[in-house]
Amino acid sequence: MPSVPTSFPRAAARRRPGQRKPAGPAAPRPDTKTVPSPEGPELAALRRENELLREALHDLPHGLCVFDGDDRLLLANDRYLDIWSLPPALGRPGTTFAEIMAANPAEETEASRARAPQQARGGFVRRREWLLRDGRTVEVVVRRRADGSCVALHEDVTDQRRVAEELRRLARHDALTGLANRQLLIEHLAQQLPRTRRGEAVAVLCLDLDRFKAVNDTLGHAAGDALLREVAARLRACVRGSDVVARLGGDEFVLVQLGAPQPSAANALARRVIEVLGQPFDLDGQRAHIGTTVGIAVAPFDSEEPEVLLRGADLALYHAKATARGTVRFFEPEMDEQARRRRGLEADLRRALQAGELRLHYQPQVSVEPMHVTGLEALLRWQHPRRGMVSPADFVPLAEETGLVVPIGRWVLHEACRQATTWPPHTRVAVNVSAAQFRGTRLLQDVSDALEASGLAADRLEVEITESVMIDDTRQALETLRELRQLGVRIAMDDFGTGYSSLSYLRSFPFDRIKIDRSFVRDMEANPDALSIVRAVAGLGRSLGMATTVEGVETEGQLQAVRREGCAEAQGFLFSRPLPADEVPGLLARLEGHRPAVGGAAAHAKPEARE
Amino acid sequence: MILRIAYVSRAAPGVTERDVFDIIRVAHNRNRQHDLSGGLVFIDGHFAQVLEGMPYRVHERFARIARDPRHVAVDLRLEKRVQERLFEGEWMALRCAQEIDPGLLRARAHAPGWPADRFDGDALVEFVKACCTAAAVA
Repeated sequence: MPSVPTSFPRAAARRRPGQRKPAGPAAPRPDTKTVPSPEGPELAALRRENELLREALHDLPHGLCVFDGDDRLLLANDRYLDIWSLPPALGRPGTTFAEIMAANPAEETEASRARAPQQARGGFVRRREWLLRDGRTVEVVVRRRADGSCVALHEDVTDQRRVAEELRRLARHDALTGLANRQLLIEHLAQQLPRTRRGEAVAVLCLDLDRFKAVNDTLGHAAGDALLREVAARLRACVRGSDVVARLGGDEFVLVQLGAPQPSAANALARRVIEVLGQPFDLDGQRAHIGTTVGIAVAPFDSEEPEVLLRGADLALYHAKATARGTVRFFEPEMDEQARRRRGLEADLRRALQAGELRLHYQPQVSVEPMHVTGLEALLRWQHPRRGMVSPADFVPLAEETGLVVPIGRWVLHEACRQATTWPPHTRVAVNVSAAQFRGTRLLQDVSDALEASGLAADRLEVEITESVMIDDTRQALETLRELRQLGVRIAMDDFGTGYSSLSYLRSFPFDRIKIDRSFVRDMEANPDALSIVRAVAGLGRSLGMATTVEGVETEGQLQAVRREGCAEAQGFLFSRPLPADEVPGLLARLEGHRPAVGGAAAHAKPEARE
Repeated sequence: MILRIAYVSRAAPGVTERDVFDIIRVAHNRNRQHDLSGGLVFIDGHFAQVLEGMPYRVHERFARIARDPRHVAVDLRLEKRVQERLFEGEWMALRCAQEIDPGLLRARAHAPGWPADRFDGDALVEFVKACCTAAAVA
């Protein structure tokens, strides 16, 4: 902004609507334009410059005013009067600052008052912000010059501020549900956690939805979104005004509960949430049933750091889900320790494959009548350099959760097929394939790669799956099974009888084999029901054209019972415990050599099993 | 049939409210699994607890509680078969002194060392229930 020329006429440069040219005591008359100026060329030039400046002043999008050293108005444009809703009379030169302020009382914001003036050329510049009574915000840049006069530029920033505020709000809220997002949640926690110093507890509840993925997959994403919005509404209805509901993304929600006796109040809230989210959802005519599980951490006991509290609640949720869905769990410090151990184990497991610490052991599957080895099941073992032999029960679930099961599973397929080529022809190799491998897209490729690389005949490979493969996505699983079958690979249903709906799965795919879970064999001699189930499954297998293998056969008595009930094959310590690959040839020779009697390795493994 | 027990004990030296919270959150997680309910009041360095559930579970849990080094002088004041739970849905409510309505304490002539000295079994149950109910409403 150029400094105001001293020759500028001392008048409010105003233009009324419809007026094309500025009017005022010093404004040029319309006729002066065509009449040659009687003034000298210098004066005429000055007049022209004056006119230009006046035009510019009117076109300026900002309000402008100039006060002299006595705080009397020298000049103001229309925009200035508009912004402050001032009557035209107050735009006249000589009006005092006080008169103007009285006409439209406004308050300077606190932030503005605290702002120090900045040294600028020829004086000081201050940025001021005023809150008008009608709710508008005006920003003013005041330049005070050495002679005490000042020039001020005014801007109505109400809309600008509103947009900025809206953007800020959007950046801190979840667009789908309108709930707080992670950032706002953390801000809120950081703000509320100091309450704990007054002896108040703050509870953080983490929850996610059971079966949300299924709703999304079967009813579509629009239904999934509608569900999330309805969940948000129900959660809001559960909490009190001071509590916060946030969505962290996906189906993860967080509640923050303030000013309530803990842990009882958080427990009560969690149960209420489980109850209301357990009610059916009506999604555009479709009914959906979901549920939720809740993990809770409480400040100051678990932590006073927002992130740490959230992680604690999340860990508690993880533990809750591991035991049962639809439940509540409080964070316990041991969970942290367990998580640390898991992370350590996970890092080790990532290395184990490259480091060659994973091994396959093999357990024979024996035809019971006549007795001979029909195949061997490959079982994964981990020889950890420090921990020693790690139980598959400890690392297989971890591999499945982390997705490591995919590369590990690939290695198992290759290794098992390769080793099977060294066995007598027609001896099968059975490989366990997990639900996580089925969820990936690579399984079919991995199987055919393994067959091709090893040169093993496809019908010598038997893939063993459990019911969990079918539960996740039955349609997709069935398609993969059919594709595997087309390769020539055989398919077995493992751990039969331990799940919930095995029978319906048997109908949905023509399995080559049913493997009856070891628990039935264990109980067979003591519990007639278990024996009846083995008999029924063997009959079922015969009528469906599926072979039955009984797992966990440890005694000669069990073997005889299995044979009597019509099962085709058996597997268990009676024949051999799982052995490393290099012991397989000896094992096979021993089992075949002693046919039909069994003993040998079995006698080694389980002396008590000998009759 | 539900078994209800109530006991008082004295906090071991150095046991703070933080330890009490530790006790309670573990109790929450375990009691949920075993369908036990109850309330615990921590006042004047004393515990007063009511525990209810299936008799076998209650006995098993109380045996563990009695061995907990965080309190001493465990004194069982009540063991009673009842038809209904007093703490339905509360796996273990907790009230520390400052959470308890002062009026409730005045009405019972609160004095140091109390409730260990004065409350018999029924009074104890009634006191723990009153503490937990009053604070839950507040």
